[in-house]
Amino acid sequence: MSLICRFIVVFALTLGTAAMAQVIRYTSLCEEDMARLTPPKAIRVGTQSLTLKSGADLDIINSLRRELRASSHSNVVLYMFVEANQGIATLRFETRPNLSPLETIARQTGISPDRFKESLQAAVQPSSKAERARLRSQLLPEDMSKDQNKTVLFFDNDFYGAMPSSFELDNGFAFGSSTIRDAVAHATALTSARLAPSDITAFVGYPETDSELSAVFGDSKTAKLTVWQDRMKDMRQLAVTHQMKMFGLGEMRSLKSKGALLAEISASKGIVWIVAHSSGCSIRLSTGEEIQVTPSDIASLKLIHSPFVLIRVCDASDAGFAEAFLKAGARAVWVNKGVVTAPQVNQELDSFLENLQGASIADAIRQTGVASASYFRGATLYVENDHKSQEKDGVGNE
Amino acid sequence: MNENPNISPDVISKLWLATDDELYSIIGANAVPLVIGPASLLDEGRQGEFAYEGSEALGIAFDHPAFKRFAALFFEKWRLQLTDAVCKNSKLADDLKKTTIEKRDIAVGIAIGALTSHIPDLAPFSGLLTALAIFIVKSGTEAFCQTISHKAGDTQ
Repeated sequence: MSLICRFIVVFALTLGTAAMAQVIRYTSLCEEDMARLTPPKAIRVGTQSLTLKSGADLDIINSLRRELRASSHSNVVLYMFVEANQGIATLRFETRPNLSPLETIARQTGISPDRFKESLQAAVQPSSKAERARLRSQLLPEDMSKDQNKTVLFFDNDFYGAMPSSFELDNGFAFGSSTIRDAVAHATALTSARLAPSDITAFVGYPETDSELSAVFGDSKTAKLTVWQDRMKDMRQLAVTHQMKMFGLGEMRSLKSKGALLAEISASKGIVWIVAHSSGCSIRLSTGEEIQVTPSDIASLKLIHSPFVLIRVCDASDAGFAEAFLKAGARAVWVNKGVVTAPQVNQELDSFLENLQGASIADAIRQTGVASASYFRGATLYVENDHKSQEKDGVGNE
Repeated sequence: MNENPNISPDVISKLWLATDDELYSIIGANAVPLVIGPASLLDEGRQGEFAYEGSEALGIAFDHPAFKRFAALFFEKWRLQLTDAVCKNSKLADDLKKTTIEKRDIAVGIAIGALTSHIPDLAPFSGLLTALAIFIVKSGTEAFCQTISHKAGDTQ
């Protein structure tokens, strides 16, 4: 199973040279339940032993071992969260030049997978300082000084939602890649890649009419239409200020077909994708046809320029848009984890576009995060390794 | 609607995943009788203060301005008692620092115990106590005390 799984890697670039250089999370996109179908398996991790709840994790671990061995010069530390018989355990792997990786069981806890997920979900709230401290003290090694000046990867195979920021590792970015080597390469590329705001196309799903409000939110309670109209007005002003091309629901409506809209997305060098409510990305075109733009629509695209994508969607779940953009060939997807409001999104986007002037994408994200640290903990940046991107002029190739 | 307001793992689990704004709204809603008299409540109700117009969050969230104002009022009015019960309570701080993720529900119970023993007047308000305790356990006593200090000034 592991060989055909795609992985997402999460990187966190910390500020300050003494701190860890980078933190990455790996996440399998395989169906979670598959892991439950295989029997428990005892494994050796360095000099220690552990009984995994699912043998499927062993395949992933062995795959990682091979990769880390192949990347023995990459100066990487990798943490993997697995379900052991007693509860969640953290495995630590460290590359060594020309040797197999050093392996240890960094932590063995009695935390159930459900409780781990709940803890991680709570940890994205700005006030949840103590919960983040608990996650760090229970799941990560007490002494992390050995990780300094290394690329540190978080491998979240079972999609628990483990992000560096949830462990009080600030300025967390998430990078996706199929291999560790590519993950490191992408992280490095993002630190030098530039993106002009004028190369970005924003697709903004704030409702501006009564019919759009009901199409987007249905019966769900939300702010009044006038509030959303004000937010959209702010967004339009922001687009003018930064010379960013923008499609509101009105502009999307003026397109003749769904294909025309998808073509606009495909041709973008940078994408801002804001959905007011994930289950209601509904647009009525000028022909009168009502269409839904779904994650599967996005996933079926071929994004010509391997764009950087900023996604802001509802709730802790991104409704599949992040994965869909990665699948379509996005080089990087920066997505919120946790609830964000329209004013926060607008402010953050304004700051990000401003920061893009004269800075790399990674630096612009970092600066934006510092400026809005109170709610920014959950934001995650994914970078996809896509073979197509090596054949194209994407932002990371500059 | 038939939820038992007393502490239970299900209630804790549900509130544990609430956003900060949602938790403040819940604290405020549960604190209504402690911060506003019935006549003022009637006046505010007639003026539409409690009409919920929905949040500006992407997606669905419960972010109620009037209830959050009541939460701020509660923190302001009960600040001294909360300070005694939480901020000056080194035993509670120590207990919560030792708390592990798997012992979350017990920690919530400890925080409720600290609140009721120091502020017996709050004992009948089990919903309020539960929401406050969850806030305290998630944030830690230090962050909680900074927050109530900040929120108490946010009563307008």
